[in-house]
Amino acid sequence: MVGFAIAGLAATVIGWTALGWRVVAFARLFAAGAPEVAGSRRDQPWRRTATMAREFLLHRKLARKPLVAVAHWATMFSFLVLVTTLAQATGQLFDPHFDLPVIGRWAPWGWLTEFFAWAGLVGIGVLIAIRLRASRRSEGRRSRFFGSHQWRARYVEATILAVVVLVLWLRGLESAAAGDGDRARFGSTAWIGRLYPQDLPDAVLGLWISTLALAKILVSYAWMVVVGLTPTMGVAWHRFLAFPNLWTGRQADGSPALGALPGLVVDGRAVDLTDPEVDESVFERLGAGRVADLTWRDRLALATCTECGRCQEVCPAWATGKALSPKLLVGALRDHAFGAEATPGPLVGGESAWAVAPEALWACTTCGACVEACPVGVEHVDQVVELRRHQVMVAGEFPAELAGAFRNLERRRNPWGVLAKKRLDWTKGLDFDVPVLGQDVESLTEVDYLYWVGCAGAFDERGQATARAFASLLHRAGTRFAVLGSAECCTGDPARRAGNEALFATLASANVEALNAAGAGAGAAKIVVTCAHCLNSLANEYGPFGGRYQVIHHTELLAELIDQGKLRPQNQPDGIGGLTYQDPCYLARHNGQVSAPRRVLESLPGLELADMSACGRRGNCCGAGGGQMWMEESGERVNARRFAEARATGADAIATACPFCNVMLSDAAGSAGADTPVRDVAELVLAALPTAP
Amino acid sequence: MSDILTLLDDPSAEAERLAAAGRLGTPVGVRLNGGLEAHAQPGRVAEGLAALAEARAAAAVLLPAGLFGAEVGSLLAWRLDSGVITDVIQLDPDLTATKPVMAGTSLTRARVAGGVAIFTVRATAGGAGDGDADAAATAATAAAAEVVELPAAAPRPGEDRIQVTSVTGRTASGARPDLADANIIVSAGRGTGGDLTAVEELADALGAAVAASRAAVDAGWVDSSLQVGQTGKTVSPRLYVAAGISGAIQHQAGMRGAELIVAVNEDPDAPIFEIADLGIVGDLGEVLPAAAAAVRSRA
Amino acid sequence: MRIIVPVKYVPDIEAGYEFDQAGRLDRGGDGLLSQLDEYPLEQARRLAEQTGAEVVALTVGPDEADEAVRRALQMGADRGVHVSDEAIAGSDASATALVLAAAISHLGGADLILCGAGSADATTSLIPVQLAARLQIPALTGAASLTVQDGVVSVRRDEDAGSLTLAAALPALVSVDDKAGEPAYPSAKAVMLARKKPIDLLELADLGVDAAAVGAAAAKVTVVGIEPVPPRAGGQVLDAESDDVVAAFVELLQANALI
Repeated sequence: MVGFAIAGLAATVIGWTALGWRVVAFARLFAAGAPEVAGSRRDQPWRRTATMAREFLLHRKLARKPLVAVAHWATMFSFLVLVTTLAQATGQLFDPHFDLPVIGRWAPWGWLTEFFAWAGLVGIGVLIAIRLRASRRSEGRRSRFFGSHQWRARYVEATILAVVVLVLWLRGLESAAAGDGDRARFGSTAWIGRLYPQDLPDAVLGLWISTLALAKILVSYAWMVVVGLTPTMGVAWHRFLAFPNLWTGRQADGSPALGALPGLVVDGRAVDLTDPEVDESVFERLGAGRVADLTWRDRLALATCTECGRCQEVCPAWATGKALSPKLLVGALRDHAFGAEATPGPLVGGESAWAVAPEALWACTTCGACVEACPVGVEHVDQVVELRRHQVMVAGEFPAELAGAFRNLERRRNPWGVLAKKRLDWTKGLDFDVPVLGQDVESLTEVDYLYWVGCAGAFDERGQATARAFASLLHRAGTRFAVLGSAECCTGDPARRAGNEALFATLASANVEALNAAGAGAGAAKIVVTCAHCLNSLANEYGPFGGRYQVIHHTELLAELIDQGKLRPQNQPDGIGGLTYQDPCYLARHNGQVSAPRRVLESLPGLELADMSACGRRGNCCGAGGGQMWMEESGERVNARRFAEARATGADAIATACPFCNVMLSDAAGSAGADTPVRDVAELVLAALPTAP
Repeated sequence: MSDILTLLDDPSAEAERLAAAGRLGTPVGVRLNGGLEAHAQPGRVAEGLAALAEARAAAAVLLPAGLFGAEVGSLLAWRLDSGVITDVIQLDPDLTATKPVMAGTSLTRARVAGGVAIFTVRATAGGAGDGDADAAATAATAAAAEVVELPAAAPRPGEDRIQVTSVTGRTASGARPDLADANIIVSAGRGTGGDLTAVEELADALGAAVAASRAAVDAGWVDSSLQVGQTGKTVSPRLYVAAGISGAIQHQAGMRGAELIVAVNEDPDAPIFEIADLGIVGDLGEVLPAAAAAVRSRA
Repeated sequence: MRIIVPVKYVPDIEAGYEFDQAGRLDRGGDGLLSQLDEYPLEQARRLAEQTGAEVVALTVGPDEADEAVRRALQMGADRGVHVSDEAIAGSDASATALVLAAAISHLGGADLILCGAGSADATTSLIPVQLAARLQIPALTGAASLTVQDGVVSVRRDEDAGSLTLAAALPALVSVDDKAGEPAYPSAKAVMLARKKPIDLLELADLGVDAAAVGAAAAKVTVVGIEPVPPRAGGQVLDAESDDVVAAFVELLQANALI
């Protein structure tokens, strides 16, 4: 028995030392990270605490997979409750009849312990089964666990399984040793005790108890040692780190880190690249190029990732065979930052086998599906853009095609490179004049809406058709509106999401200047846009440049005009019967607008709207975002995959509400040899109106 | 009539060049020997021509268009305190020259003010048509013309320090016609992705020459001697088929003179469609072989 | 080592341009650094990275030509020199070469002068060789590739008939063509730093150039007329997915007796 006690105590010391040492090491590592913007991630502490508690208690994000959520919930709580059994087992090394003081002999406590032990057993059993099933070899890349450290996960699962089995077994033995009068508190484990011969000598029973207690202790502390020695083992560390990671999320209310991108920050201070006096020393430090550039929250998030692969499963780049998986990108950064092979070398490209592959970095569409899916609050899109910022603005290494788009944005202020004087070409063929601000309309006070046409609306053939349709609708509904004409330039969205923050800042400043000069701002005419990317930039990203506007998407305005009876759809548009709707990522996921376009479509006579299996905030990307529109795509195409999903609904036509989705899906239809029409919501509404008198 | 000197550095173009000079005055061919290496020292050539032009009180010196001709012209103009007009597409009897500027979007007419007029002239320049009579006249002028060797001269100061460390001749590209002579040119761009099978198939079906945009040359898919555009050749075939070429203004500068333009491109927004007589939005890997098959079936 | 890159400010042809009554380009419109000058700048940047050479961007042109120099500074040049003088307006290639040669001498000469293959507006390629002649240095022109080693510059020049490899000891002039390597997109850092790089302004008097030797009056070439080439009208555009494009193509060939 003395040997047991010594072994157990030694394990205890070693286990806690290993864990404690790593906790201190983590604290140092996070503290050494670059600072976040002052005041961010710690504001509204009560709200943050509530957000964290809600995720913890309700498992809202995990509930996308309900069975996993329930199993994980049970396992998680069993872990919390069963920590006490470790103390119990330690006592049992010395005295097999040991019970925890105060609560140890209290029956409800015993039942609670047993309940969570059984729940944990079932929970971990389900999780093990799910992992085994999902990671069958035949699943290959389709498995969300593809590329995860499977043995680490299996080890953690085996530990939990062993612990709950040992807890239950020990309870059974304890009940056998307790004697008849005391068995009520072993409600569900007494039968285990009865499996042992009734006349077993007390000493033998005691030896059984001490042996199992030692086994339990060794299993638990072995876990602590392994975990303590393996900082990259997120599947274990998330038990602790998910709490601070959720608490320090970008949004205090726990909404996903989407919409506006954070601005450039160096040393915790915002950098304004349009300021001619900006300190030169920051130029080498834009974005994240090396481990030293990762903020404390970046590091915390990397350490927290459990490799559950929910991000990988929804990533359009991964699904089409690209090098990018959000999970593997996070894993690469983590190993780079504090794995066994941690290196000061560049995070992207370079010598290290742990560096992020450039092909992976540049495959991201910033669609945000990964961020939406992550249960522990990893902010993949922000991280990707930080890496891109360094690649573009400091390292100067990025796909050659982007340089062409950047040049066009610099010289012509639109990614197509078309001359500004052609900005109004889309109005040709309309049977009314589109009022232009500064020519036909002096100031925004004279109109209800400023229609922001966007570069796609101005220059792309499909976009022009949408712009014409929407302008016609505004005209037919009798609204007073105007456009900026040649004064409009790209909002900078493609530049920003491709990492060219300097170019974004230039374009944003120019637009804010033009808009403010026109009198836009709080209380002035609303800006209405037909492009989801313009919407996101104008509404969410212009604040730091002095532009605060009320911006609405055209589908919202159309829904309003139909509600008000100013537009009365009467015909079945273009003879379309079955219709499906592609949610633009930057409208639905990034900005939460999923109902207005559906309301509009449902108001059109004769249309049957059938959603795709992935839709709304969980819709799949068309493949154009994040600057991908201007890059070459290799292998299977994201738009082809999405088009196949749309076709699978059996719809005759696809509706969308963003010119980029429109281009991508139209192209995909063409490549597939299908004549499925792809129409903007505005085009369908116009087609449903009675012929103009 | 005054002498018109014309530099002959390409045996296959001698008759044309002599005939072009003959339309302006008494043609005098000045034969340049020394092959490619001679191009390394344009000052030596300019000095020889200057001596000849002064001795014969020549009214004009015609040089081949291109970098070498421009360099000789530039040095000759400086040496003779005269002017030079490059890349001339038409030369009137009164020595007024027409040349494209601004990437071929404008034509200027210009004259050299005083002194010996110097021009670099495109092979296709001049008033000659395609008829047999013209061909006969060209041959007659050329046969009657005086041809002299370029007088030996010293290189200009500085030029003597240039060493030619290697010369690699290029073997002729085979059965297809030259870009300069071709009636039809099928030209490959970035959109071919480096696979020229379809382009060559159509070119062979049409008996056409193969050319390329700068992007395709830059990617190493096509030899640079076949590049059409501002920094390559300027061509004016009867038909120019642009396959997978977006049609940037720099490319248009080299092919705008084609009588007919057909463009095949996947991108409906490609600027080439703005100048194409027939635009085809589609996959050139499918369209070109189908077109080639249709042409073959009619032949 | 000092590298001087003469650069030209040219009109943005696609944005439209005008000529004045004298047939001179109206420089008031949108302009930019001649694209063909980006290639020598890129080579200069690469050489400077290897050798620590100083790179000077030099332009002769109107006030707006500052923009071309600024772009050159973003692309890696360390400083800019802008020769601007009313007397220069209307100069021909010889006079421009004269001013450039004087400016380079004024700056104390260069080990290597890197020029573009031609300018985007006129593409005459007259200046590099004459500039070298005036400075009495070798001119290695039309370089598709370029190396500098032990004070010797070596280039490959591709022509229709074959390739030449040329070498000369520095100082020398090299004109670089557009096969020599794509210019890198300037990093934000380069763009920001370029805002603070100096651009020195010089006038003819600083260079000791007689105003009578340059400008329209001294030009040996007179423009007697200029007219835009009528834009080609686009024809029909068909979609291979929906139209019989092969038939349309064959019809075009037949209608024009091409088969």
